[in-house]
Amino acid sequence: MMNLIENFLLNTIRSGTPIMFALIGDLIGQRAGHISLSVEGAMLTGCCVGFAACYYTDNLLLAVLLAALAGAFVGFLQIHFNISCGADMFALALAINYFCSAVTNYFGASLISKSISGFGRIAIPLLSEIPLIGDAIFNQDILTYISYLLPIVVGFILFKTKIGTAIRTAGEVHQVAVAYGYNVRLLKYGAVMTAGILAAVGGVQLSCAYTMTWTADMAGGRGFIASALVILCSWKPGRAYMAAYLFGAAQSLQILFQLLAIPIPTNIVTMAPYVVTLIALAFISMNKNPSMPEELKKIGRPLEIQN
Amino acid sequence: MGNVIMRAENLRKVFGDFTANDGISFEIETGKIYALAGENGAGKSTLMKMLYGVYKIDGGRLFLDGEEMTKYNPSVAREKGIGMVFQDFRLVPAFTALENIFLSTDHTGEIFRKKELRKKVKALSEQYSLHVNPDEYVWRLDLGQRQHIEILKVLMNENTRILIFDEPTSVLSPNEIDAFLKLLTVFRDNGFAILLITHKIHEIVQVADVVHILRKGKLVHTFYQEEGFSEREIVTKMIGDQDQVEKEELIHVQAVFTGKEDTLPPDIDDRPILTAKAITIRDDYGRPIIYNADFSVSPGMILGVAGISGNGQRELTEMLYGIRPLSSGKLTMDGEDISNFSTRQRLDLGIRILSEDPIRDNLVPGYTVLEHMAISGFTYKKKGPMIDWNDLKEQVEECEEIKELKVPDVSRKAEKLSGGNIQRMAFARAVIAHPKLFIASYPSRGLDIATVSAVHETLERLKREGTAVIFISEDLNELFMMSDRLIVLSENSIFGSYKPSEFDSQMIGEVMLKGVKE
Amino acid sequence: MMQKMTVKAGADRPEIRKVLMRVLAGIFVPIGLFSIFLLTQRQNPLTVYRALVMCFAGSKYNVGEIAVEMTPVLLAGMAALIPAKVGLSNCGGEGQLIAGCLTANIVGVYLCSGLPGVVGIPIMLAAAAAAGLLWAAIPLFCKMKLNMNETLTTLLSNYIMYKLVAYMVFGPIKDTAGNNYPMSARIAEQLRLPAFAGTRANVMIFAALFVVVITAFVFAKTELGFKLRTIGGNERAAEFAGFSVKKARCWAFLIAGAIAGLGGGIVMSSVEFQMREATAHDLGYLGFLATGIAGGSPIVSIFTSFLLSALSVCGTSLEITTGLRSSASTILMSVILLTIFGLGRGRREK
Repeated sequence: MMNLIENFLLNTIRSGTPIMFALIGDLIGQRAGHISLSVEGAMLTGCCVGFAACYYTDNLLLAVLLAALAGAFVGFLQIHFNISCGADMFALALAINYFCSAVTNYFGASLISKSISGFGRIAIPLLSEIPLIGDAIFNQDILTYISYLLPIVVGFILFKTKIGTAIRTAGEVHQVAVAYGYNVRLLKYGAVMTAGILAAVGGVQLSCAYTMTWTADMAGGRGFIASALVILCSWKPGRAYMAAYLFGAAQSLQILFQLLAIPIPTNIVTMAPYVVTLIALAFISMNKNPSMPEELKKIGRPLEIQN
Repeated sequence: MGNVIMRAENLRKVFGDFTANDGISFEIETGKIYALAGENGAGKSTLMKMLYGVYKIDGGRLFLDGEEMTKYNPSVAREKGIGMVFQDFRLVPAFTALENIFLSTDHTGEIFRKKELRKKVKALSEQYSLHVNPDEYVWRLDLGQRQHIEILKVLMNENTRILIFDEPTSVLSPNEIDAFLKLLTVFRDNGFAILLITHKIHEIVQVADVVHILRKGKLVHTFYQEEGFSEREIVTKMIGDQDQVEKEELIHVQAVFTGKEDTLPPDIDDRPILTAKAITIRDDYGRPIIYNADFSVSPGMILGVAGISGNGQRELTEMLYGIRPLSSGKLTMDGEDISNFSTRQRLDLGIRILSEDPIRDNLVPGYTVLEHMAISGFTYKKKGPMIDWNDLKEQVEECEEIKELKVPDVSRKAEKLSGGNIQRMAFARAVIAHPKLFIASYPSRGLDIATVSAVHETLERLKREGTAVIFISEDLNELFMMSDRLIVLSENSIFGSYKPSEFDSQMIGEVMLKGVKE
Repeated sequence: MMQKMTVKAGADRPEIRKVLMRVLAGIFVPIGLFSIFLLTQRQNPLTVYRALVMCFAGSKYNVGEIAVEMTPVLLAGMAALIPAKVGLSNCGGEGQLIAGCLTANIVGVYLCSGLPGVVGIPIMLAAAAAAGLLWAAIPLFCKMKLNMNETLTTLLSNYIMYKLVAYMVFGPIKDTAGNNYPMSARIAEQLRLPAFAGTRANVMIFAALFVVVITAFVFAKTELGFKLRTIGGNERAAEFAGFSVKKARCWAFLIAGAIAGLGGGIVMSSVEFQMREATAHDLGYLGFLATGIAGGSPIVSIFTSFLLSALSVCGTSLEITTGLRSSASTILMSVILLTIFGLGRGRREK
């Protein structure tokens, strides 16, 4: 029984990590006034690039760096085509995801049944011996450890530094940021490319630390879920833990149900993360979102009113 | 006292083939209050933007401390001590006052050190009586307090020597205006130079040392305190054309109203067309912004609605028009309960509205003026399932009101019109239908005096034809001049209705600020 | 407070030269980029392009295949376009189409197997449309009553539909006669749409084109279309004019779902005949993307749908003639899509 709970918690955290990366990434982008549904494509690309790097070179750092580069490119496409070419944010994102899917399916075909050694787990002495939760929290791969720190670091930057406040201003009242001499374009490019980078690194964790495999369309909607969970977090980084591990728990229900012999068919259980996300979204959407960045409210509205 | 900080020499600004400013020269010394007067469209805003570095100077030169400014922008301006207090408040409503100040100043470092900043802000607050809670979210603050934050932002910069105010009192109540004018004298006595950009003459007369008058982009006259000046003289120089001055003078010249004559039949209040009883309206956050209030309006009457911005004007008009639900209470028109009527039903009853923001509420991108007329205002004929555009075009072009209000060519895309023209289009559209009830929300905002005159005339004509008019404005004198009855939105209530004999600036000003104790 | 008004808008009528440049760039940039890719795969770009063109122009059979692929893509495209015109973003055409496909199979196998085609096929297709409508109703409800973002809810519901199909084909509708593979039973012969001789194409391509043309006419020329476009242009302006925005949006969204579902039903009845885990995947997204680059014009989406369908179909034949994996054609398709987005004629931010 203990084993079951430990297993469940372990899986919750491990599967929550990619979401944490993508969520924090898109949170920064949304705070800047831009929704990046292409984090799905970025994550997928990170999965593939990271896995390929691990397979061919066994160099973990290289895997992360290459994935980050790919993610930055995806983020660049997302923001550039929107701001400088006027493409619709959502249709563009879906096209980008389609592109990432096409490219990774093609180049990743040869990686399909390969295995790698990937990211091993690193146990933190003493803490990892705490009963029940020690193993789950303190015996993880390095990317997961990094993901623990993301909300804190990003929270600090967004709320305690001038550049972070400028980013938030770009997402609230665009004109004010401009009026204070901030290069809003640069801020947005930076924010959205960061989203791509983080999502891609999350993808590396997914393929190289969690599943240790590569399959086509591996991200399976995690990017979209992360985007939706940003809303659940009310755009506050501190709430990311709750959101990411809510997903992780929903993802891990399968383990729980199997071992408890609950006879719900696998395919229904695998719906859980999506359904849970929808329910969470419903819950937060019902109370009129006072924390939604103003610029996001304007998406889909026709005119740019400029001073 | 009396150092020349800024000198402008023949400043000129051109947009395409339109000259917004031409040959403007003046000096600014410390310890003086300068007023820059002119009607809407005279070029005040453009000049100010050049002085602050937002617009590039197309001709002439600008000197600060004797040095010619060649690569001038807002950063340089701030460095040199120019502090701009904006009319539209460059504030982020979702942040606290302190966060906004942190954001705006170059001198607060990269990391947000709350305690330090708060101390500094409190010190300045005390010094100049600019009381505002630094940790309050800006969306909760009223406009007077927001202005305080804007001023604090400017004062945080220790270099600041010139304070430029752009239409600072347009959103303040009479009492707040008094406090503000006193503040200006405090700044002056502390050695600042003040540049006050406004079209409110009676304020200028109270505090200005020097008055520059702008008309059609040129500096036409300067008045000096030593030589004396009157409101009438200022208005005359501002407008130029004597005829138009006559009636509109009342708004600009007469500072204090103490009641006027009631020209309506005595039983008019007993024959209302619209009655609101015990109404409660909630704002976007679910709070009751108007609670348990009553009012009514009769045909052939202009009911003025006074109140500090943000006291429910928008919510009230949205409710009357069917866009916002009535939380409780009853709305009756011609005896019929219309509380739950849809907008379509209200349109059919003859209710029309001019929104406070025609761009937000009426403008459809990509649609021509003609298409906007099809959306509302005109009844088009149909050819099967299709609209007969040619017939509609004829209708629109032949319409008197359209010609009168100078609405431009109907096949232009409406979004390319100037703000004033969009306003005219929306106004024309609304009055064409000879409404039974017309709600005009800030109809004169941003328009030049000639057009404002036309707007006022149209409203009077509607009144003569029997329309019940609800007239919302931020200009108390305009309300006094135009209205037959007056209600005041304040403290989540509706006070009034006041008869013309009660149109007293002092009293109504108090009600706007504090309401009336029962 | 009234904002200061310097509203920026694109040129009233883009110069012909600019349009031409864009079209040319839209053709040659992807060709160029894809050629680079081909070279890295040790393929001769000229051979590949010739093979592609031969495929389009070549045989009657291929034309038929394109028509077969294009039918659901066109319909899914309308499922994205119609809500977009009233300001809603329906990314759920994928799931709505699959819902229709699944339902057509279930109705066909379990209810209509004894019925003649003339009766059975319309019932199947109607059921498919109803399924698409119902699947669209869920995110619609979430939007209207719970204020949830419909882009996200429709996207997530696509994944839920994938899982639902997986559950069905592994469980309740698994073909007992089928060697225990996760697939459903096949629908009866008479329930399959009759094909034109020599190809797999059927009359439904014309039905789909008809739907597109009607949609174009309604929006461009009718009073109803004018009102709907107003709602999409500025929701508040439409409210101020007394239009019933909520009602229009609900109808538009549900009709969109039905159209996508119908597309799925056609897929089942014309080429698939049975349901597997991956049946009808990506058709919905292709339709969405085809409309996305069509600038809101249903007529233009006919051409973009044709292009994407043709490339999709010919990608498979590429593998035979050049040895290039068929997934390469999706790379070409996605590069074309991105290029067109990159050339976009939307409003630029300052």
